[in-house]
Amino acid sequence: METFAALAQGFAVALTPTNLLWALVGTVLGTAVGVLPGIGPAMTVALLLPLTSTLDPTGAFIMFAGIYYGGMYGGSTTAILINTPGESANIITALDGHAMARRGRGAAALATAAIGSFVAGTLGTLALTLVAKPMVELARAFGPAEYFALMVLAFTTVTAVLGSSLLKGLLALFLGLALGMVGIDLQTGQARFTLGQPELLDGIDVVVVAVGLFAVGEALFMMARGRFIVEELLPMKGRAWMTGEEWRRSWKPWLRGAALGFPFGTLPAGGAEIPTFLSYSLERRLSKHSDEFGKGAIEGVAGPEAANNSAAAGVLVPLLSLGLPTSATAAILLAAFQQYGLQPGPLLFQNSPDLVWGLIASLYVGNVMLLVLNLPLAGVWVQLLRIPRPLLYAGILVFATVGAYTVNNSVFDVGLLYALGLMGFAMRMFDIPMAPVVIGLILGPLAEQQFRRALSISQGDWTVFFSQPLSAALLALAALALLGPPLWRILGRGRRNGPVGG
Amino acid sequence: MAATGSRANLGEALLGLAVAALGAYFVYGALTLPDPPPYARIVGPRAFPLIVAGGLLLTAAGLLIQALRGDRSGEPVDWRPLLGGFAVLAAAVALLLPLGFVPTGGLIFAVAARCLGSRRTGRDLAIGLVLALAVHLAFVRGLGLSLPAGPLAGFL
Repeated sequence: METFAALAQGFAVALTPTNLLWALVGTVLGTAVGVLPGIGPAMTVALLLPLTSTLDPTGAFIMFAGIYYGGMYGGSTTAILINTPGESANIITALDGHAMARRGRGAAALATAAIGSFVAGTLGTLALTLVAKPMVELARAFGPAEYFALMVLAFTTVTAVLGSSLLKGLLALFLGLALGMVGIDLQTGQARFTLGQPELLDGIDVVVVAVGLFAVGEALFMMARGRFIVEELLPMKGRAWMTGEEWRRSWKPWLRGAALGFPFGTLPAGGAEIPTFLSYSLERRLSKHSDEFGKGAIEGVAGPEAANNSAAAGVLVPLLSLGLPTSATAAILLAAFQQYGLQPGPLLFQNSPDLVWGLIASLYVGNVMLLVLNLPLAGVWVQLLRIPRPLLYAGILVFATVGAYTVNNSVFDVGLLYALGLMGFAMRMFDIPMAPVVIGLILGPLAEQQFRRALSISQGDWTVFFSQPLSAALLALAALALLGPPLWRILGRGRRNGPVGG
Repeated sequence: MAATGSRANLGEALLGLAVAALGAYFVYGALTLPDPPPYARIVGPRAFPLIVAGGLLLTAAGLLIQALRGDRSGEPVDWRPLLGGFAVLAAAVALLLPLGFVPTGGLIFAVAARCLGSRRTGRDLAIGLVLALAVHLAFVRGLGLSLPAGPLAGFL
């Protein structure tokens, strides 16, 4: 099998001592930022992007992937022990995980989350391995019109799926697209929307946007709202291992979560949150203990935690084969590829097989590392939660400042960082989702490029987007994602499904 | 109408106006671009920004309509610490080059920690300075990146 030969080659790359070290650094960092509420993998990878100037791409991506996977593992610890989701994909875990911790089964909840993450992460990575090659073949059929249609689909699904209202999702998307327009127009060399600032000619760096929105915005939000937020760290009580019954009740949700998460991850639908909601309602429906849900049912932890890790693997499929990011972290990974002058897609598989397959192989390695880091060492990570919040967020501000300054060695970027922090704060207050901003920022310029390329090829004929079946179908799906839910509501069928509101 | 309710609507209305202003700026910016060279005439640099501007103006209209309907209640905000946070960030931009990263970082840390509820400002300043020094050494010596050294240039 061609795929397995390539994967074996990948393991040869991933298992060199240097790359193992990068994987370890990434998984440790990822678990740490996953555990700490308020900072996540997207911001961490963004802060580390300046390192791309000194690191070789394979090592850097192995580290970034470790951070990405690690964030998914670490977030559950916070959800279970202090009822604050470490990451948005852990919101559901908090429901029953925290209830388990209250009942003195915190250790078992952490264990089922870690093992479920490992099982689903590994199965998801296996699915990624098998699907990557066929997807790349499919991607070869994509021309500019298809790429543009695909990006529009990603815009609308991410917008429709995330956040409290469609209007606010759209606002976030257009803000991101607007930020992405700033700078020199690549085709004509004209400066657009730079307010006369020479520093803006190169555009607004993704590091500044991501770190400003996520980190500075979060710190300002905690200043304004911290007094009103009460959190209590529950001790990690209970026998450190799961009982036989808890194993019996966990393994099926792990497998179902894995099966649910991966396909949703590959769709341009905003990453790992949706499958966790679906997994939770599925497990509640299938469980013999459905009355326990909300009061500490282990299935309600096992299923969603498996789903989010398998979705994390799924997100890498469109990212690597099409260059299409479907979550904030994936958008920043795409920015990292751009920093190296690499374009994910068929050419990447052809020209840099060591990088791609080394990265995929490192995901298997990373999952094993993360299981070890999170199962026996869970107690160590809990100590991170003892850092007083004021010092944690103050430290995040210091790191954010360094991160923004080192992008271009310019104080202008630091000012821009703080201004975007203000915007992030306002977005938090108004409940506007952040991920569409980052995705719009990264994908917007690429969408414009494909849009203009498609119209140049067609000599200005706008029907080019609808005359080919593939791009027409993608655009139809995009319209459906945007207009479907409101129409559904107007027609008065089914108000809401699943515990999304909980 | 309750006081908090009307304030939240004012917030949404201001948000809508801000987004409308941004949309208007994008329309203005796109229309005042010089004419593109002939090879870029089919879809010039104006088309996409105009689409984005249209989207911004439409969402702004939606937000304003929502604000007038007033169907959202606001969350309380602790203004004093928040304004302290804004102040220290503004000061940091001004001080970063003249003072250098280490003192500025220490200042950000101490003031931000206070605004976040810590009451041991002396200790926080010490922690902040040590953290900033460690970050400076790690980034400059370890990773070969550059940070403003300020008057401490000779010692770092």
